[in-house]
Amino acid sequence: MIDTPKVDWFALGPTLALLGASGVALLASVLVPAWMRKGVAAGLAFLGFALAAILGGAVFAETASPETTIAGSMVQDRLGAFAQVVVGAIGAIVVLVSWAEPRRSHRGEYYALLAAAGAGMVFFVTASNLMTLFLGLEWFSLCLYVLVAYDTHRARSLEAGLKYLIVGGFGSAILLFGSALVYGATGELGFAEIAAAGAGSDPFLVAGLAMVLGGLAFKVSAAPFHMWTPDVYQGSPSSVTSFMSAATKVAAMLVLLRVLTTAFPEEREIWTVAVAVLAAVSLVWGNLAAFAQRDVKRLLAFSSVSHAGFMLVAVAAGTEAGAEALLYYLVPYAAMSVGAFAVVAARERELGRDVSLEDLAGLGWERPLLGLSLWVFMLGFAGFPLTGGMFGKLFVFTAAYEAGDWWLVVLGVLATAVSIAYYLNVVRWLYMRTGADLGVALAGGSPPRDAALEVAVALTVLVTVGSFFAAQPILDAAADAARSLPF
Amino acid sequence: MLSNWLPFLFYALFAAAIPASMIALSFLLPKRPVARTRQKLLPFESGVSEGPPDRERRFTISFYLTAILFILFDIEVVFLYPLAVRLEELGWFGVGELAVFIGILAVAFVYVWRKGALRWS
Amino acid sequence: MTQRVDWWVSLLQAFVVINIVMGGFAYLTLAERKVMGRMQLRYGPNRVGPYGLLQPIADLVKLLHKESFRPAAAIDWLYLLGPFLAAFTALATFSVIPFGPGWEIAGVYVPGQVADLDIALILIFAIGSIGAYGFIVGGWASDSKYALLGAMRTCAQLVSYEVALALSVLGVVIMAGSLSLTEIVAAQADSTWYVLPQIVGFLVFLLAGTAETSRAPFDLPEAEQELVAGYHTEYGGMRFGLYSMAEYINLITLSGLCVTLFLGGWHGIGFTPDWLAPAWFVAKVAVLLYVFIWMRTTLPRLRYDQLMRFGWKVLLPVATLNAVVTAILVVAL
Repeated sequence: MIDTPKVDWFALGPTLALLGASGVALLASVLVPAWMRKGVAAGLAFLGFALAAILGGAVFAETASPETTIAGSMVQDRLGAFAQVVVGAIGAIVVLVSWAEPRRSHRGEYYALLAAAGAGMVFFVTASNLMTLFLGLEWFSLCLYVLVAYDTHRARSLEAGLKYLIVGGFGSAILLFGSALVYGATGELGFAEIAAAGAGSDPFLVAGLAMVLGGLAFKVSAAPFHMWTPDVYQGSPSSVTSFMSAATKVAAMLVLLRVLTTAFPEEREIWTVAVAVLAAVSLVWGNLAAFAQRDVKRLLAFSSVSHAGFMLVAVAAGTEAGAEALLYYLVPYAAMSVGAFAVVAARERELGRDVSLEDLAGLGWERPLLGLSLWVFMLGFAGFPLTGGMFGKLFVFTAAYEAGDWWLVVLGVLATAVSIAYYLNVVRWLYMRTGADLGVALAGGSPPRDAALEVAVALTVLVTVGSFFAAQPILDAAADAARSLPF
Repeated sequence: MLSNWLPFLFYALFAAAIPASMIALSFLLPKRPVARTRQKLLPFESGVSEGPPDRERRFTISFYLTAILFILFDIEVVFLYPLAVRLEELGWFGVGELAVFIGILAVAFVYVWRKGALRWS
Repeated sequence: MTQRVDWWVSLLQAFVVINIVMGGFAYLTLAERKVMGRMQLRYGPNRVGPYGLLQPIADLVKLLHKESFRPAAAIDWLYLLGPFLAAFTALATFSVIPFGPGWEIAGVYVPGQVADLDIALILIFAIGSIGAYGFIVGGWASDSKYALLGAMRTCAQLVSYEVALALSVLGVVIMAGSLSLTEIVAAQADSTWYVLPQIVGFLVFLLAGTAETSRAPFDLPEAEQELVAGYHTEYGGMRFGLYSMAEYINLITLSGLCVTLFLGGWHGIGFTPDWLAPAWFVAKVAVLLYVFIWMRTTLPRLRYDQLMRFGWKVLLPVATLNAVVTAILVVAL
């Protein structure tokens, strides 16, 4: 008999829930009558994401200490479960955001792909060897390539899809090459085994580490690996952008943290410096470039680059406090990101074109809920009190200061100060100008009711504000999750 | 064992030599035609010449779909062969793996079928 | 278990076997014309030599002496590479098919096949896939739209049926637990010929194989009565002959493979003395070849959409199901 690995169905639960939802939704989008395809597929995707979040929560509750399963290819721990809960929640909200997206064909397949991408992500965050790492990465990336190019009648969407495919493929190839070098240096695939192999400062291992870091930096869109971000965020359908900006960042950030701390603890001096440099470049470049943007989605894209910088500051600390800060940061960030793009999506559906800052004029008065929400998100991005964004930045800076990265703290505070300018500029457009002032043509008529999207936006506002008032439970969960990493 | 491949190499050399020699003979044996007339140098056109044919001609989408599906299912075969060889030792675990793998492909197959990618008329 | 084979024995054996295959091909063309003739109440070729037995040689001489011209715009070396690839891949695959148990002749061990490889079955499919390039390269390089269209048609057909063909033998692989053809033959001697438990796989293999070798009723690539020839429109003389040769040799190899996988290989019914094994093998191959010719004279040709539908919507699911059922039964029993 050949030794067969024990399959831990419980740990695989979130992945299987989403994969099942995706498969059934795909079948539903050809087998059920045309008029109910969208409803069935969207319902299934929503259920899948919700179930994944619940199962992730169950795994979180049940798993006190990390354990590897399925022949060491994946790890069942609280870090992964934390990410699964967050990704599941993001996905469920994005389903609501996507509901009223005007679409002529392939209405059901969209949700099947969304669920499949989610399945890839919740698998990705549990990867514990280089093979499953790459598998998970490709799994969700391939789904996203298609989703980005989903509006086939818009040239910009197709362009974004092609750009993302080529640049993303390049990033994956770098990651794969790096993995090969690491494997060559240590002869091991598992993260813990790589650490135990103790290859020291073998040049191949260091080169491999650099390439793995670079490959993952593509996915978290940290500068200087961010070139695809503005074009892709702008070109893809807004609901997809909201999913990508939140879920991809959560998944890739946590995996970055996991790989660096579990596989390369010996090389901490090397990667903390490298990550700190990435963080600094992202902060500077993201914030400066955001100033020059007129298109709201591009602006948010550069804001997302700068937030990758903040998160990397936490990673660069290389301490448990840093990991905790990162995990906390991700929760309000994900909510704000989904919410902000959802508001843009609503305006886009109203106007039928890409939304520039001018197009936001008067939105705050015309649609109070959306306007107020966008206001909250902008304040949250900038780190104002009463939003989780403030505590996020506070924890990150504390962790960085304790780790001795005082120059990153200074840079981060400067970046925050600068970012207030362009975030508040958005608010200025929302309330202090009207379309009539500018002579911009109004959409005309009453805006389309979109209850699902409004519920989604309300939920994200709730999380954004809630994570300020209920910071302690989230922080506790983050601390539990961070403890599953070896520091 | 690599030495097992030596007989195959011999055989492949003969298998290459036969068509190669036939092509060579097709140059040597025939008597040169007296004149290479224009008609002989044209591609077959049933008497209607439309000028140079273009190699960038586009074909029915079905050909491309078939090619993509072929890759999908040929990869399936590539993965199933090693599993099939060891299936008896793997027991029910192997059958489970086979079922999951084919199950996922079956979903895609049903989708492709219903979507009409296999329709040629 | 495997005995050492001297290299000169292998060289000699390769030479002999490939010549037998070539001879088999030559007389298969004659046999086909004779059998078809009788089935259509004609005589078939009977002028060259007694009973027309020298006809294949006359054909060869004729093809070799034909004027070889080609369209002026054709791409030289690709135009020649096409038929070469087709014929080479067809010939090369036969090397792994076992036709006997191996013999000790005057103290020298002669194996029962040219090359005994662990992955013989995969090798056959791999080389067979390369064969498709022969058709598409030739059709594309001809610089004629009929050849190009024909090449696309042929490739789509080959590619579609290759999947079903490869899946249909999965049941055999599961039962034998090996990809080595010699071991599959040995496994059949221990239990039973796989045609009985794998009857579904056998039928799928036979049908997909017919399509793979472009034989009637799946001979759309040629379809001489309906379409302008196909990928070989611009070929003449021996270059055309090579394509034709590739097809017949593929048919022989396929029959040999079918005998090996499903019909017990070189084992006869009851006890077979070692020296009689090749005779059994040849007899079984001959029966299969006769069936192929018989099908050609009996069945009308399919339309192209019917052809593709049959491959994807019938053979592929059936072959997959067969593999799954086999897997379950093998593990359960």
